[in-house]
Amino acid sequence: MDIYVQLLVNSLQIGAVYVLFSLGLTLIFGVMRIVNFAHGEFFALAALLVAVAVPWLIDFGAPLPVAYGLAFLGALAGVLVLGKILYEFAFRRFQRDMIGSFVLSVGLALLLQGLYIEIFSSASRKLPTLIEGTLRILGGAITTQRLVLCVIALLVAAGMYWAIASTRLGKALRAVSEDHEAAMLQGIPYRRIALSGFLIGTLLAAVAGALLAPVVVIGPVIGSSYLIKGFIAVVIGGLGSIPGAIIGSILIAVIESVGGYYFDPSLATIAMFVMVMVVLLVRPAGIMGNG
Amino acid sequence: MTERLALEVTGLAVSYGIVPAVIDVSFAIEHGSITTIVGSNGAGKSTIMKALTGLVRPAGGRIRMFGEDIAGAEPDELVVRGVSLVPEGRRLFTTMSVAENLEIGAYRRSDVNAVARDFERVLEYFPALRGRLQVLAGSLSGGQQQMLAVARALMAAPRLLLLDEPTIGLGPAIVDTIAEIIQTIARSGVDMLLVEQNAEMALEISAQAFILERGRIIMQGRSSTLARSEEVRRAYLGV
Repeated sequence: MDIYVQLLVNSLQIGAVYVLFSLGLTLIFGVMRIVNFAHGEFFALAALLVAVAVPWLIDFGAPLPVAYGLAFLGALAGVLVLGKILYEFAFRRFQRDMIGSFVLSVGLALLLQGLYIEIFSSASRKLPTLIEGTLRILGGAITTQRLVLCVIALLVAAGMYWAIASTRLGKALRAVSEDHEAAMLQGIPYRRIALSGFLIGTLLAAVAGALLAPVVVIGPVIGSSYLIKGFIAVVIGGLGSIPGAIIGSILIAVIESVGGYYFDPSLATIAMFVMVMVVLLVRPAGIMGNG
Repeated sequence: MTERLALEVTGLAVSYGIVPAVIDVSFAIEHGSITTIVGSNGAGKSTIMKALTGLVRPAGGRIRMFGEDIAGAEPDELVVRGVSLVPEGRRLFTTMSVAENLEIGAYRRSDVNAVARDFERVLEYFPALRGRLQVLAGSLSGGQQQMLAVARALMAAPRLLLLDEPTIGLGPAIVDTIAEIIQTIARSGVDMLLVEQNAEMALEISAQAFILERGRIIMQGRSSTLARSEEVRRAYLGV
């Protein structure tokens, strides 16, 4: 019994971050028809900025929570600036161009990783624990810090889900995702909505990276493994589908934690790829995909 | 309104790559009338509609709407200027509800009261939609989807409404309903351009007509006159 609870708790905390990550990926795909293979680098930059800023702020005498809070906001701002620059000079020119955007985003991912190694050095960084303590729930254990992180991630994801379902911008994003020409014919300014969708997606990756910063070891190439998992999640769920991204992320998280426990992590990774193959064979557009 | 013409197209030319789709097309729509362009499949009807809504850039010619040149205007800007298109194949947001489709139709309008009034008005035009507001647009029947497409375009409060084959694939009863609504909308002061393969219906409800063949206008005149013309009857009315 205890072990099942523990596996559930583990799945939840991994899944919460994947949900944020893949929501951004699927949103960007929806509005621009681009699979952003550089999405992991937004995530990585946020984590790196937090990792650099927190010790720096502590040196200035800021208390730990304040240092984290400021670093978190600074990281989001920094990633948004990068996102806006990349959108204007790169992604905007390759929207609705599958091959062009693939080459572009893979190239950008490599370029950014190289830049991060130059700027931040290839050293691994570990930040001081923000919230001490461990909670026991029904025989499963989770550090308080991870629980808080997980709850925040789920709240952000839920807020995002609500916003896309109910707000004016959310409806415009969905309309553009389904048929951008028909959306323009209703007066929706496609360019502005595409930029908004791209920046929201970028911001979600940044939130995921900044949230995860206190609990993982941060290096300059941390983004690629999240990109692969996030990509698998959206492919399984259906590219462009919001519920699909959530379902896909949860599936990936369960496979990773359960498979990693009963077998070993590399088998869990193989299982994910097998699952992608099975889903693509049975439902080529993904579980929630249409068309 | 001082401008007599709602729409004036002069020498319009559109090409896809090197393939010309529309060649030197000129026509005008007067205020307070239904104008129709009749043509068979591939004659260039939808291309004209795309040029009028900014979805394709003409290779030549001039389009003036309400007296203003629309060269280079984005589709969403044109909606604000008062042009709405009911596109071929309806192009509804099938994963969104009927109510959401109507809301999106009024995306650029800020007068909440006027939008609410128009919401009621389009439901009066199409009572079949009233009970289905929360249903996904994709699960409506073909006829209801077409009604929703017209209703969505009306939610933008257009001065000029463009309809691209609104009756294609629909049963005779629904064609009649749509034709009636088109006339009602025209009487409410919206100028209309109706593009149709269904020449019989189009010529019956319109005041003037243009016959399009392989990208060129080959005949034009009063709809009632054209409906009696031997050539039109043979080619488009199947008699």
